[in-house]
Amino acid sequence: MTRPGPPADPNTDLHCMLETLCLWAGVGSYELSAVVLLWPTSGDRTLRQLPYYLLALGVALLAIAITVRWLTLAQGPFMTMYEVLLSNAFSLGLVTAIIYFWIPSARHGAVFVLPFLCMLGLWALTVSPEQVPLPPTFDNPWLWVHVLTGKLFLGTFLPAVGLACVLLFNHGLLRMGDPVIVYEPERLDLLIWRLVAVAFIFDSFMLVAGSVWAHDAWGRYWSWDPLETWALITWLALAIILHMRLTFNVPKWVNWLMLTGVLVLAFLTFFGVPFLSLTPHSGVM
Amino acid sequence: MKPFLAALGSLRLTLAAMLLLVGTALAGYRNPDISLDWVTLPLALLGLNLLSVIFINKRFRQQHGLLVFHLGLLAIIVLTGIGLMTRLSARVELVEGQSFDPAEVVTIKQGPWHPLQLDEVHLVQGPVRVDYLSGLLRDETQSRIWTGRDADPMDSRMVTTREPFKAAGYRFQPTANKGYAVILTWTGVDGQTDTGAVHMDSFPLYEWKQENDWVTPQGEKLTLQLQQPSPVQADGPWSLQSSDLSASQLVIHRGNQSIPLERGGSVQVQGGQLQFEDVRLWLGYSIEYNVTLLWQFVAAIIAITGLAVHFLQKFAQVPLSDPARTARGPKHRSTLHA
Repeated sequence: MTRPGPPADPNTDLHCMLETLCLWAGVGSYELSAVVLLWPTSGDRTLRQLPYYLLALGVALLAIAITVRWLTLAQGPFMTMYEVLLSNAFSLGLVTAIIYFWIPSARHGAVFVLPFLCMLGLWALTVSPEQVPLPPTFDNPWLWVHVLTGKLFLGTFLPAVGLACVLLFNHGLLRMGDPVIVYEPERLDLLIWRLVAVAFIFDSFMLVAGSVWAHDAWGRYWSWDPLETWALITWLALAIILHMRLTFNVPKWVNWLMLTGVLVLAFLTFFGVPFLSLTPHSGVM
Repeated sequence: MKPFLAALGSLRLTLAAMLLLVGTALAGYRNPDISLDWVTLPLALLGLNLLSVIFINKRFRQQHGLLVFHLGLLAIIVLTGIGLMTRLSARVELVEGQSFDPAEVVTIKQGPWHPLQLDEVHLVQGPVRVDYLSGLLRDETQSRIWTGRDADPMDSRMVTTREPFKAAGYRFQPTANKGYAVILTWTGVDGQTDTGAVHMDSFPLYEWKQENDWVTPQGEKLTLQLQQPSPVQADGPWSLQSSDLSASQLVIHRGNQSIPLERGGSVQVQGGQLQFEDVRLWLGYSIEYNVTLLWQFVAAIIAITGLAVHFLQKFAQVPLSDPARTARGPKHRSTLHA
């Protein structure tokens, strides 16, 4: 991979190499964790724990890659698609790992979550790691709050949807007359909604922090740019699902399906809109 | 009355209004000009719906965290409404040395209740400097202004993008829009003189097109072209400032005739004389007035805190003990690797 931008400097080249190496190793660790998880195993406890230790290793390697890049470029990973993917592969992996070590039941969703993280990592490998300087006028503390809460939102929501997908998958099998018993589905459903509740709080805070940041950075707290609009629609979709759960006697599988739909929406908001417009909030950059 | 309130406060209506809000948000995405006006409809509906729920639903009122969250949302809706009715969104371009004149403000959006008080704003534009990083990436804009009358130096201050000028409730923030302005003095055959500025296109965005038309008081159209402005440096740090404009030359295109002018030079045209005085920078400002923003922020923080408290209380009611962590083993064998 080549990096246009700063002139050739032995230290910079070394940093680039280290960043690339850690990125590849981190993504490789994610891939391995997914492969080990999906590989048919016996009931060996150590082997069953292995995917999560590999996930933690991948998070640590990606953390090194981000730190090296940060120190080299003297700015956080906010601007390019590569940086968005790299930082999200790290942050989603980190939040997921914390949840999986804290609430082992949540690991039921890993069969969907780990491949998702692998996909993000692989995507990051295919994108040019070019540098786009962050305009100094945009660098204020609310940018950090905005980005952090956004990552916490997606990081909490992803394991919830992983569980929803697992339950949805098993529900389908049940309907086909091939029952597969999932470990205490009622408890997993409860866990899903708790994670969704926490994600909703982070999502709300992300919108507020984003508005304050936008107001300070370019003078408008809300300008209906594509990212703002889709972020609001994602928040509204979550609010609608939370209200529907209270209002209608919605079958659980419908709720799980809708949560999966919101993840797709959030995914498009986080990665689709910036991908189409090259940088987040590119309209004002 | 109660059946009406019950209907108005139904959760089905909440869902319908939310879907309507999604629809208007999408409409806003497609057409930014109509979005802010149309979102008021579902927002008003949600506000009424929420008020009814609070009024008729005792169980809802007893869940304090949830109540605080929804009251916070209600406050945001009300404040947004007030903000839309009283707001002003406008822009203005000021040349170095020029006093702010409300008559030159271009209004983008103005609420019907906006207490127009731009005449209370006093500012004189001082020197402007825009710094660029390598690759022509705009860095900080530094704009010296005098905020007292008669350009009292004691009242001078520096305005930047991050530290806008605030006066009479208005927020003047420098924008990316800036460029050169030629200062001209027109002297009519009657001896009357008038000095003013003609703004060139935004620089360096339209570096290749530094010209503008100007019609003399006698109705003759002249094309003014500025040459040799400050060279742009894209391969390293660079600053745009008027002190670099000493070599600038003005070319006046009059029919097929092109007349080059140095500073202080003049040309006779139909009905008078035009003198090229100076080249300065003009800077664009966005002007925003919205007195509700701080309160919207406070309401949002209170709302989110209320929601967090509500969820914490709910979580505490039904503890999520994780058998996979604490118990000896699952009741049912999982087909998945947990």
